[in-house]
Amino acid sequence: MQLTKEYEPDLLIVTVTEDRLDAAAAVAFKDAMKAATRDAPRRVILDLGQVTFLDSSGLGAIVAVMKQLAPARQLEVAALHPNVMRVFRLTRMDSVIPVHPGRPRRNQDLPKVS
Amino acid sequence: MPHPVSVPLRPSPPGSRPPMSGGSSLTLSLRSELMAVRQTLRAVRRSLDAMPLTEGGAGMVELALAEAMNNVVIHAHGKATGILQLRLRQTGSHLLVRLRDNGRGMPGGSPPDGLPPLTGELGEPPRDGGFGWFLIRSVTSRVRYRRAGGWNCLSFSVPLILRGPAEGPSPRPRHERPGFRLGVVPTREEAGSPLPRSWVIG
Repeated sequence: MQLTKEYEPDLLIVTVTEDRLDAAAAVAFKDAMKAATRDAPRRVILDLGQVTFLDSSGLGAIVAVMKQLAPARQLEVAALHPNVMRVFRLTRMDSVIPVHPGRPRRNQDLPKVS
Repeated sequence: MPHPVSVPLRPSPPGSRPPMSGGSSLTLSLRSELMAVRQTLRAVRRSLDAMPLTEGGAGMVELALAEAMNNVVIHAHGKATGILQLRLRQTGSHLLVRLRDNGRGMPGGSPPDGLPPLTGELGEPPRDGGFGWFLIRSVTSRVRYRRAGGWNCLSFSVPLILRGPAEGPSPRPRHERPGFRLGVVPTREEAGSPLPRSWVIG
């Protein structure tokens, strides 16, 4: 599972650079996220802008990462493809994990999440 | 983790079933492996993308197929080697999906209702798995399951949401729309070369 990391002063942006977060990728994604967020600050933003397909296993892996980071750190997601957003909406996980519409950019203020 | 998987993709032989009005069918066989499911979904997606569907319409079909096939690989077969047979058939405004496999039967003899990740209990953390059937039931209708002769047979239907005139090329008569010939193999004449004996996904 390919991930890239960018550090900002108080947050970490992790970008998934593959197009599918599915059952075949779920375990590798969880392992890669665990390694990538070991030294993460309070906010971790998962940029899913390149992911065009998410299934229940992929969503389950994101939920597992969120639970692993909590309570000290919060997982947020950004730039969801409509097919990915549908899975978040159907499962109401968009009410649990903060969703940012756009892809986070360096030196760009992301909306504060209360 | 990825390894080469050669999945025979067998289009229905011509004349194998009566012609369907305004539709056609696609039959695929694959090994019970998650990577084979992924490759099959890519192939199905290519067929769907040739139909005048909205992105969301194609996405719902892909999601339902992914959940159903992954369930078979993970639960019906586990570590054992098995076979999945997928048939897609267009019936009017729906895609009828039939999935057969030679794995273990469903516990209780019927597909689960499916629970969402959120239980509804205040402050209860969301579950991080086991909601595949919740998603299947969210995007499909007419779910049927039966077990016969050591095979599971699951079927359901998914709506085919067509693009409006504003979202794509101007509508042509149905028989001229390439998409309505789901998975149709070009004839020898059309292809200009001998047909492959089998298609390989990937």
